[in-house]
Amino acid sequence: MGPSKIIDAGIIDADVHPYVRGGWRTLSSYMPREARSQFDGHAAAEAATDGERPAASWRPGMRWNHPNRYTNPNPGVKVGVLRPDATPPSGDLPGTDPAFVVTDLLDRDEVDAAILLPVASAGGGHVESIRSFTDPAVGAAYVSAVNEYFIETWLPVDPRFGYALQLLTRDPDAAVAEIRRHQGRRGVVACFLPLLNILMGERYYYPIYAAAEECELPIIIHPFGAEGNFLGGPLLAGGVPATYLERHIDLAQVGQANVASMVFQGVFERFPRLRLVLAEFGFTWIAPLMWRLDRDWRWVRNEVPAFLKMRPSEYIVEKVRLTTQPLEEPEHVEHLRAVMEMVHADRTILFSSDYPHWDNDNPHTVLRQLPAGLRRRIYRENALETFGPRLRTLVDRTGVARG
Amino acid sequence: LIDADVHPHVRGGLATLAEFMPSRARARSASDASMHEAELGETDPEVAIRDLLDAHDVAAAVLLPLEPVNAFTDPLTAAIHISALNRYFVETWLPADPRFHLAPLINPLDVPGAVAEVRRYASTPRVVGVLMPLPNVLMGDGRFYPIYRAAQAHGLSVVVHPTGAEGIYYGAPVLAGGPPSSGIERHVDLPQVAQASITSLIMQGVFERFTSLRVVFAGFGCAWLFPLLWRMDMDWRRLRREVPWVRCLPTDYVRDHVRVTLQPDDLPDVAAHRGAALELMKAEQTLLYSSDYPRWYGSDPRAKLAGMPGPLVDRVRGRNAIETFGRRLTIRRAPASSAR
Repeated sequence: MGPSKIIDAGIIDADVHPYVRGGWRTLSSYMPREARSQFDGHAAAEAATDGERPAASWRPGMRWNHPNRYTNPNPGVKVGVLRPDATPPSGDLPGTDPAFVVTDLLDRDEVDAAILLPVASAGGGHVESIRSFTDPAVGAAYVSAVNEYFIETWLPVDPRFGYALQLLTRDPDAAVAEIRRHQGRRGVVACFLPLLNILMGERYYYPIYAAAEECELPIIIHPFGAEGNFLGGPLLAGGVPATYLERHIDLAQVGQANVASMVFQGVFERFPRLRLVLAEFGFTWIAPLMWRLDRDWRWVRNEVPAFLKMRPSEYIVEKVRLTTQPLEEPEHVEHLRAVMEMVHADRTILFSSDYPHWDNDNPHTVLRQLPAGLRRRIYRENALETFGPRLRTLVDRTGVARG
Repeated sequence: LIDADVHPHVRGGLATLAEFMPSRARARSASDASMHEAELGETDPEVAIRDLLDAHDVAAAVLLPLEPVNAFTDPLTAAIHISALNRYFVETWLPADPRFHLAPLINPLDVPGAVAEVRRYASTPRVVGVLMPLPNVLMGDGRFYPIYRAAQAHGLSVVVHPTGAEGIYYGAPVLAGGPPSSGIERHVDLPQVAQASITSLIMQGVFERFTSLRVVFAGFGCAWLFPLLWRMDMDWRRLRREVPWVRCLPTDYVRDHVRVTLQPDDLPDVAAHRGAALELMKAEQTLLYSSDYPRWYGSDPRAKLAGMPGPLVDRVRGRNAIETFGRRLTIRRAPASSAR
């Protein structure tokens, strides 16, 4: 392969969203027969709207709604968060055709490996956000079907595809079983944990962490629509935001709170090989969070006596990673450079495109003005270190296969 | 030096406070008094004058009488306490030294009561704002507008400060992602409340509606402000059609209307990072010096001032506060002060 335009090697994209082609009708065929009837309503609604997502999702009063649905009512856009220009030749929804993602993202942007993160991938926002919180049996059928679908239909299409297993957070035993079921599959490189309103430092999650650590799968968290929206999902601070815009700004709080919780509850001492990746929560806030964690720890460390063996910020630099998208836009490039230094970007920041979402960043236009060495860390090496041998295998095989 | 965040306490606790309540309310509160017997040094204005105003050459200090009324389940109890506390500090602290200023307490869930309290003290000299302990309702919510209208009409800033109830009690602001396990986590998480409130104020158009309103976030620290500015500006550029009444960059509203205080100091130790963080958070307009006296955070905030560039020190140590609190701030030098 030729050198990438942005670094002198292929880039690694830590956050790409695949969707189930054919939506619920397809997904239900990956479920045990007795579970399918649970999803009949979704499939019927989808059929009634000619492939659009269930009409209930678009009631204007619901903050779930994405405003671009209204501000950019392109007839080709069937889901509000998707880019119309990522529509495959078949005319199907953006992100549903792995072969098109290969040409439209991997080949065009010289991606050596892309991590597929199934967020609401069957128009499943309501299932992930409501039913999996209230009904673990439904959630289990959904999560297992999603994982089987992407492992069987996407991973064989291109050796550069990596996959983050979706876990049923509501049922840690089921989550551990899902990790064990798939961890031997080539291409499975991480776990995607949709959060409850339980902070990640709590013991609730420890069986999941133990399994993920044993299988060398980093934990990825990613906003999935329930935050500040559906009961059971993570609350946002101070009240219920009024608009999607406010909710989106506030999402960073979920990242802040969970990093503080994991560090101070000693999760990274208990599970020393565990890695946490925060995808799409932004990253500049990690700098003031590190300052405040260190300062408070110096003042009142007796509250968390035996847990921490180094400064809180050191755990973050060693164990916590954040993806670039959505990339904020400073007034001056030197400000971005200063912030990259504050956040230890040479260790902590992973490039992500968020393809095919509406606000995704083109890897060839963002971050271009950073020094070459730092670009190489962000676009490639940090991800290789974070996801370890599982990802390295994808990249190395890519090199051989495409020789 | 102007100190935007000082906490006075009631000497003698509830037993004293009961004297400032209507007689019918006293029996109920007196039964709680046994829980509040500790005699603290900071309950004496003379101690604060000596240890804070004189010792640190403070020309004006804003007293914020904290009471977790955002966790009071009974609005009547809250109203009685608020009324008694405000009377107590107006009658016992303000006369003790001309450098003392006060932001009387209000209960934002009792809007008529809050507006009445604003009006009650609007003409009291050296009352510079109102202290609004937040419920779990974001500040852009329309039900608060009568309070903002009254505060603006009288040139009073709205001051927000954590009360200790946040992330613990139903009714007080929740923190993101779940209840924190420890006090140290809770303290780290507190700026979320300020972040969410600032976002809500701006995006709901409060500063378009109340164009001379000032909101001071005291006791939340300040370093978190610059990522918030970046994120608000980014998302507003992309999604502004959702909030057509927001007419300029969120950062511009913050520069004109929102202030944060230095303590609890969460700025970084590395000098280059500290300088960059101050520049990025527009500290020349947004940052007010504060001690959070009598709380102890293990660092002398004056040392932080010493590390700032000269023009910025001038703004942070006094000029920003003068611009924020306006004509209601009366500056008097301590008799023994040096010409610093």
